Amino acid sequence: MNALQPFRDAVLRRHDYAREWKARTGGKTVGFLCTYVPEEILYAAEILPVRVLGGHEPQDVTEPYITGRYCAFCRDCLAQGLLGKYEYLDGLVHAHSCIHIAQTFSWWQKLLPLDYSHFIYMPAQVQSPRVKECLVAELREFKASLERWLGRPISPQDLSRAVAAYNENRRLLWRLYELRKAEPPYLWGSEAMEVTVAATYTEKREHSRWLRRLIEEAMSREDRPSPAVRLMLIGGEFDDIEFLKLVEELGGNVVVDDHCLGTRYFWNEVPQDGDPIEALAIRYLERSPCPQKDWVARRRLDIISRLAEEWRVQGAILAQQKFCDPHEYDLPVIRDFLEGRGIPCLFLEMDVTLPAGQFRTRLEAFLETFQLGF
Amino acid sequence: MYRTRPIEGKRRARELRLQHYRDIWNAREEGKLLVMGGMRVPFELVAGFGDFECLNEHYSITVGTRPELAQRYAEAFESRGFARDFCALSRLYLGSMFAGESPFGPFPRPDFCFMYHACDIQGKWFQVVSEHFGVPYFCIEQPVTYPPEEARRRRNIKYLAEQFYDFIQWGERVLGRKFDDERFLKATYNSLECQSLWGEICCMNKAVPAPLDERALYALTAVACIMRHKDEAVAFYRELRDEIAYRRDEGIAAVAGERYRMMHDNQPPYYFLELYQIAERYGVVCIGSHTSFYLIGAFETGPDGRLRGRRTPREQGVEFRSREDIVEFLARWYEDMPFYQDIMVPELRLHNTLRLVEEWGVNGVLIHINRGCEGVTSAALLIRNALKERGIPTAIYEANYVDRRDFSQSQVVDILESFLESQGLTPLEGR
Repeated sequence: MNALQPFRDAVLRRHDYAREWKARTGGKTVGFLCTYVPEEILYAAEILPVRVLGGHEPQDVTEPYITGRYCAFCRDCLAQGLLGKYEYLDGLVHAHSCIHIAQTFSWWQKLLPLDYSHFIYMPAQVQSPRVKECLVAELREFKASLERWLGRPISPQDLSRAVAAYNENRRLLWRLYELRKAEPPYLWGSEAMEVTVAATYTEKREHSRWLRRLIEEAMSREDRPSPAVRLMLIGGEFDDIEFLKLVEELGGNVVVDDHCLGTRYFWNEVPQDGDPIEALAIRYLERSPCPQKDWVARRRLDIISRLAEEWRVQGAILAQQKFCDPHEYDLPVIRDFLEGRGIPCLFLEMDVTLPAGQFRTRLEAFLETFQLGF
Repeated sequence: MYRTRPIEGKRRARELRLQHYRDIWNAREEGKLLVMGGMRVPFELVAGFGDFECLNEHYSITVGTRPELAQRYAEAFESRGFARDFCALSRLYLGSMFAGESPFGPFPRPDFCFMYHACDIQGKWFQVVSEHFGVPYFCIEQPVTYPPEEARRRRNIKYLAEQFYDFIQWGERVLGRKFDDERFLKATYNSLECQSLWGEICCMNKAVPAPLDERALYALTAVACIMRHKDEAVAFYRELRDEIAYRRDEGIAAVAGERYRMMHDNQPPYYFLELYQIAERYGVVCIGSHTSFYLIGAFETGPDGRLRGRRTPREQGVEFRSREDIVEFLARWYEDMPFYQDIMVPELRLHNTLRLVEEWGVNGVLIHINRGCEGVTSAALLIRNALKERGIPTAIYEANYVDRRDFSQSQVVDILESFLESQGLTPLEGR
């Protein structure tokens, strides 16, 4: 499909995209380390928010800073910074999520030149009725710090426009995901991931333009994916498109997901009435939660259950970043929950690089259980 | 050589620890509430609902001193599909729970779970416990005041206070008991005095020779970790404060041959506390650490700009007239405690550790990359880097504080001894 090409280019040349955007607009780029950063505020300030992601290549530059017992993702992100891949960033923002990525932020601030950096205390107790006030104040301070840095105000109208752009993009991403409910789906999982990964660092209105075209083209595509085992991908940080291609090669297709570069990124919209900062706080508190924030009640199980049912999932891949404690707490519970509902699970531990040989064998065996009708 | 003699308080601390576990396993018979939660849980609030015992992380440390038992519980946990690379304290606790056993009898069923969440897994840990037993669960979140600004601090104090009120309401609903403000007040006075006294005692270790060593510090701080709301804990720390003040004033050392003051960053491998004795042979005293001081100790900056034990409400001239007064004061107290906020923000942890190194006159630091604790370990290399810039020598070893499967004794001893030799130290004669 031709309409996939801009996303593919953005994935393959993500840094060029940002550099070209800067050259074209003269604007600033600010990196962010977690999807709990409210990008809308950056966007309202005419900044390009750029999700910092790993490079999926072996690296040895973070050893003096973060020990090997922290997740590969947080080390890989720092490595990309140290290797100069993000030299075009003017600033970096972090919203408190986990201890791992907090180190990336800390070392990045210390070792790399930045005009601007900001820490947002994103509470973990998102289920508490008390928490909204705290987050609203944090977001107001974030906005104020940006205004000080830029030397100009961010108006309510700027925020409303940004929210509208993000909400539209979220709606379009859900429309794209709807196309994966069909049997066979209109998209391969790897194609959908190219779209969602690109969404985290491309200009939102541009991404939405590409998306509208893609949705239209996908519905009439002639090379529709062949029937395959319908899978759900569950995990944390997951942007390994090659892995999804491997799944597809072996007879599976990821039709839906619950991870940070999938539905968790665009789960819900920002309410468009009332104070825009309060509306943003509500959106980020009510989004599909990271397991670090999914207590005392478990909201994730309902979310996963709903996705599995609506997308008619046959099996689930539980892909976990090694050493990620919050996910390590959730995955056995999710496995028992899904298997209790007749959805078999395959657990895979992820690192910077993909152990293709090992994963191939395990995926083959897993997928054969469906193909043989077990 | 300095004069030395055993610390008398250690015997009493041991008695209190044993009493604590007896009390937990007898809680039901004695009509007390049994709570499962963490060391930093506001015991003051729980006390408002009646006598209670709390089984917290200290239990995992106790299990961790017995490697075979620890391994059995870790494996019981891992056999359920949980990973073996995360929080070792929670693995042993939950493994013991899943196995249904403990060194003190069958693993008990709590009345409810109550956690104080800071590091990534604390809220999740007791979610698993509450689900296992089907008991109610309440969790309070430690907010992060970073960068440290007054407006943010005030806001977070309010957030904490609101969570405290929520707990009171929740408890009244779930337990069907009325919250007793008199009990709340008494427990608050006790708890805060224990924390202040511990801060004061830690500060006495700035003296040369140090009256306490790290091994004793862990044994002694445990009382506050498990029962700081009780009268006997206050009596214990008052007596201990007097004993340590006497030792300090009389120059009675923890390590007779003290000639090098080391900090052991992070908790030790609890099954191998001989580590400190090996250092002692070289004339090294481990003067304390981030965890042994800050986990329970309350500190404030004195007029000389140096840390001292935080003044109690009475010492501050605060008079509590209502529940609101107590809650507000308690929220400020919790907000200002260094530990927990600093495991979420590496810069805060670095700041608190450097202050310790400076004020306690540390010559060198042995850093434990603790595979069992992501929180306390997270700033390890940031600390090392900063110490290096300040000319403070460091050595690093990797192990696990309660899971001996991650421990290589000969390697760790080699690292320690090589480090000490690199500092020009040799074993003292006759030791």
